[in-house]
Amino acid sequence: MPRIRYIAGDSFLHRLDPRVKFILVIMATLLIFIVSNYIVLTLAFLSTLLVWKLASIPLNIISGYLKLLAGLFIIIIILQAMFYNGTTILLEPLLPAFVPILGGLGNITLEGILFGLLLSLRVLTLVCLLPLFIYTTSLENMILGLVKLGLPYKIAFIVTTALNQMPILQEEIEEIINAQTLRGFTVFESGNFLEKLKAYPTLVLPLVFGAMRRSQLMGVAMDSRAFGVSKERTFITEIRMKSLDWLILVTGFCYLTFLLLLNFI
Amino acid sequence: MKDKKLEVKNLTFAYRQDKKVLENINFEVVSGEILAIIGQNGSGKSTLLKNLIGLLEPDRGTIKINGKNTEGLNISDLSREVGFVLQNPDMQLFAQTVEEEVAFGLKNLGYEKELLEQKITEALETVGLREKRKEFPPALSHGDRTKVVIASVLAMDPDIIILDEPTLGQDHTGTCQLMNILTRLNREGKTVILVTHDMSLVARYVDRVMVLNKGKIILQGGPREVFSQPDVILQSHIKPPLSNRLGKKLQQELNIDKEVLTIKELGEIIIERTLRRKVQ
Repeated sequence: MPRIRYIAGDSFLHRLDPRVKFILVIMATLLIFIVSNYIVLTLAFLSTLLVWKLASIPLNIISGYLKLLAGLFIIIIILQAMFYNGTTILLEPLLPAFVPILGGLGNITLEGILFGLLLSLRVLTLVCLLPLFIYTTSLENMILGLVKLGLPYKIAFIVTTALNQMPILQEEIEEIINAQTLRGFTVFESGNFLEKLKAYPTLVLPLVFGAMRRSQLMGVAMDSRAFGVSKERTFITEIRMKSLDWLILVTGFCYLTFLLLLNFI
Repeated sequence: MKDKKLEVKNLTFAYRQDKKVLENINFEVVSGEILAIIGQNGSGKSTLLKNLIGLLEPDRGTIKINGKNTEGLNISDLSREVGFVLQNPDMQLFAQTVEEEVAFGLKNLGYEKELLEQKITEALETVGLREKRKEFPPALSHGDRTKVVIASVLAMDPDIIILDEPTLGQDHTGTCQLMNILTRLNREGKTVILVTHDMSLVARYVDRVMVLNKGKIILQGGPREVFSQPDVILQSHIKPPLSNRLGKKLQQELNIDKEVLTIKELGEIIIERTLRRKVQ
């Protein structure tokens, strides 16, 4: 799976004020949850892809996400196709109506398939949108942006540190999977989606203990460097909203409002 | 003539096309040998190990284990013949008890219950952890956690054991215990390959050394041969063990005509020379 960590660059998105990015990402996320129109959601997805391109983030990362989520999408579509209350029946139920409890369930409907596709597209758009903030914002700028938005420094630090732990956790998951495969465990190498799903809980123990050890060490290191002693905290760099930042914020806001209105037309 | 356990020919590997991490690597490891791979950080040691066990696929070249080309083989298939101990033991412990941990690989290989018990006991006895078989692995000391991983690999009875810096973070006692276990296993016929930065271990326990520098092998030979090459030492930023450096300093004074590897050797030379002078 592609690592979710800051990718250094000099694109317009890298230079954009972190507050603008944060606000637009939150607004776009809410929009994706609200909209239920296929065209609007497709537009939102294509716009996200365009931002990826403009931010010079390699597009092949998305294929990594797709590979990871393909199984989930298939399950979503199958479940929705069977249980969505649609009217255009494509296939009759596997169990006839006279069978108690489960009888009559499992009609495959066109509306169900379409709704499954919509949900999958929603998940994919979110998965492509959220990391954009992390890929293009350095940890320092992220903290600074959140503090300037009014978040207490400690909370901003916790949030950004948690985000920063994601690639470390990803690396550890890979390492644990490798260690299991090296001891003859074949599921992660050649198992199917369900087998892999069943095997994932075995990763929890080393992952949790590793995270606990690391957070304890990090806590000691922070305490030894006087974390939280002074209420007045200074920053090496300063951020200031420039005219381009305002322009992008307003344009982004207008575009998202347009998509929202389009959804209700 | 001893069997070739591992044969690597023209191995080349790159994470990115423009930067080769390993280039034209050629070496062999014969049965019952202890080989140390040394070199500074970033020289390609861990990448080489990952290629050997199938975690990475070479861009060019062949790797043969017990005469069998590993191309296209699954990692889990290779695990029957090659046991690999990764650097960090914490990411290799997934079970609730030590014995379950050791049983993990055996169950994957389809061992029956009775043989499973026997194998677990043998492996834990080898690493000296029989008394701790019911304990929770993450709660053990770092040294014991590494031993649990080694026991888990040993239980699967591979011909070759590969270890990536097994003594990292171990105290002196832990290091000696670990190396004694490996030496014992080697005497019992296992072939051992290890990556290490600890030159005193190389001097004391290893048969042959391979020096990697910027992805290329710059020297292969016995520890005495390697430590006698000042240009190789300089190029690969190796710091020979204290005994060897001290031996070099006393070379003229005590008329030492060979590379000194261990403190024991140096001590014997000093005693012998001192006695000779007294007699004269």
